[in-house]
Amino acid sequence: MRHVRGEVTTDLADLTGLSLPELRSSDDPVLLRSLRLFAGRTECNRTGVLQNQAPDEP
Amino acid sequence: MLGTHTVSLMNLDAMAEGKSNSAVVEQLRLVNQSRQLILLRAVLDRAQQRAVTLTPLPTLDEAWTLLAEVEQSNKAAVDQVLAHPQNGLWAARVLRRLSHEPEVGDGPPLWFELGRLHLLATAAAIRARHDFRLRVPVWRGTLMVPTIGLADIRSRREWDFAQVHGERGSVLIRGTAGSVQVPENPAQDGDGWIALRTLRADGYELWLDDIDPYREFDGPVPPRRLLKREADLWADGFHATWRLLTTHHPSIADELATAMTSLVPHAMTERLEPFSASHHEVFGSAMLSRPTDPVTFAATLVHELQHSKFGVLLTLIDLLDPSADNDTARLYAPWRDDPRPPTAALHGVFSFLGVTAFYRQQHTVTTGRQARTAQFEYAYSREQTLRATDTLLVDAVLSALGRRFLTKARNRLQSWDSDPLPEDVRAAAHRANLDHHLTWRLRHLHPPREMVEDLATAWLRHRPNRFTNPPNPVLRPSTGSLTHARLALVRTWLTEPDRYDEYRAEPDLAITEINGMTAADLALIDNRTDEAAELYQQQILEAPDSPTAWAGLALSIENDLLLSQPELVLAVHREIRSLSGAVTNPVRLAQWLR
Repeated sequence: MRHVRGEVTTDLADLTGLSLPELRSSDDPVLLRSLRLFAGRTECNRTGVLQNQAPDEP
Repeated sequence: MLGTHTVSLMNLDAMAEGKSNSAVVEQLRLVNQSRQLILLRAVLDRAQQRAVTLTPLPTLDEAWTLLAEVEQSNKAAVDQVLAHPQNGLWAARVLRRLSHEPEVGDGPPLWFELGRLHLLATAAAIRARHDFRLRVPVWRGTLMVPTIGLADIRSRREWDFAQVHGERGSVLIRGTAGSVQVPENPAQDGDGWIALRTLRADGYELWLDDIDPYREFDGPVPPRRLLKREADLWADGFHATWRLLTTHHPSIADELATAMTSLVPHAMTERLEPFSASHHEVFGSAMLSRPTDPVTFAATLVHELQHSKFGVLLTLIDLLDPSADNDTARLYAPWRDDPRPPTAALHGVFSFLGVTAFYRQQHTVTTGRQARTAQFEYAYSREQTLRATDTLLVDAVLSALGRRFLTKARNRLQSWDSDPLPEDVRAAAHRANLDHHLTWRLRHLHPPREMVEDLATAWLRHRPNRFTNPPNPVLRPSTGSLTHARLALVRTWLTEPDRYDEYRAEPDLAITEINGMTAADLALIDNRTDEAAELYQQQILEAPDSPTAWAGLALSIENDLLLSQPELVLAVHREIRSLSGAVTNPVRLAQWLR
């Protein structure tokens, strides 16, 4: 995460133009870095539900 | 080399100031798309590394190959299926299983969970009228084709499989104990086929998903098909809500049309407000009970849209210091009765910022009671959001971007304080917020034990109070739920003034109709504070630990200590009771402690 001229650059590869075969086989370094970072973060994080009411106690 | 997503500081500032637009939301949608594709690739890689066996299903590669074939002929079909809001959550859950969890337990077997890829490929092929054959997973005799519908093929096994065969647009699903022919128009119910419902209004469509096992956030769950009458009420409510949004809030309508693709009906709760929920890892879907009027429906959609947007933003940038403890529930969030972790409180700030901006506009486009109600909701949510923003600025460990974001939000919320509002409405909103905060403190905060014992002993021995500034109270979260009767009464005062007058004339009617309501509450909301104080003291004599009675008393007598540290007065009162067996007069005690 870096600031450059009014923008924050991130580590998430922009995959909007990629076909599925390219996604599966690509060894593009930006994609591989994203894969390491985002998959790793997802594996480790336990995220949760955001609800507008506290859950009822049993 | 591929590029990366960026976040413009101008857009970030606009989001912080409640000024987002559909172009920003479109960027977030594309970010979510990239994130879902990254997770999909990660699932394929991990499964390959672990040499996972999918028996009785074919390999993931076979499902992937079908998806890629369909993409060549009909990319839109694949894009729509891969954009399904729950895919990111599915991929995240499967990744965790592939990385950490041993294959034991009562949950879905791994082959079944991974088989969602086969179902996605099937959905894309059906949408594209592509010829194919694929074996797919079945749960309790049902098979959900994401974005299309659910086949009831029956099975004796909990986890089973079926063969799907599509040829020239005709789709047959054969299971181990039955088969279903998908109707030529799969958007219509058929024999053994339940179509995914769609809500439509002026060109905007979104699913009303009551059947997908993964529609909630911790699947699978069985289908809960709405009765037609209930589905019609959803359709009518959505139509009216969309008209309200496109007429008076066109920018919000544009954002919703860009982001939200699915609503998941949830049962009504016994609380006053409609239930609604989102998930950090789900963009474009929310679970909610059916709101009873278009304004509440619109506010709920705004609330959940904000969560969707913010969830994606937080995958790109850290607003909280990632090395800090952001997951322990320890902060006061004015919209929740329980302590919240910084991550959730931050999400809440952004969500309620959107709701506040909505009501800021809404109260100017209506008249009469509806305007007063919107004015109250505006003042109420503005103050809630400002308080939570201040809490985070002081008590959370923020990144530089987080501090910038919250400072911008705070400035914006403060600037709205000068908006003209009727004084009685503003005061009612302020009292409702203070009531919630007092009740929260009374339930969850505990002053130091030694100090409480000293004060109780001094009181019993008729010594002077040597109380000085105490150390911070300790948070020990209490369990159980509250009724919020006073808030219900305030809303009745605003929305049904005739009904409110009936309650004044006949308090027993209010007590019967509003859960948890007391005569003291009615007196307080009616500004008969001396009477309210007397009645709350009687309540405390009968139920000395009732946080709502203590909060009511604090609001009635406006004692400084009861308003700033009600938990201290309650704790000393409790200790005196424990030492002497007598219930002390709470007002005298508060005055002595002050």
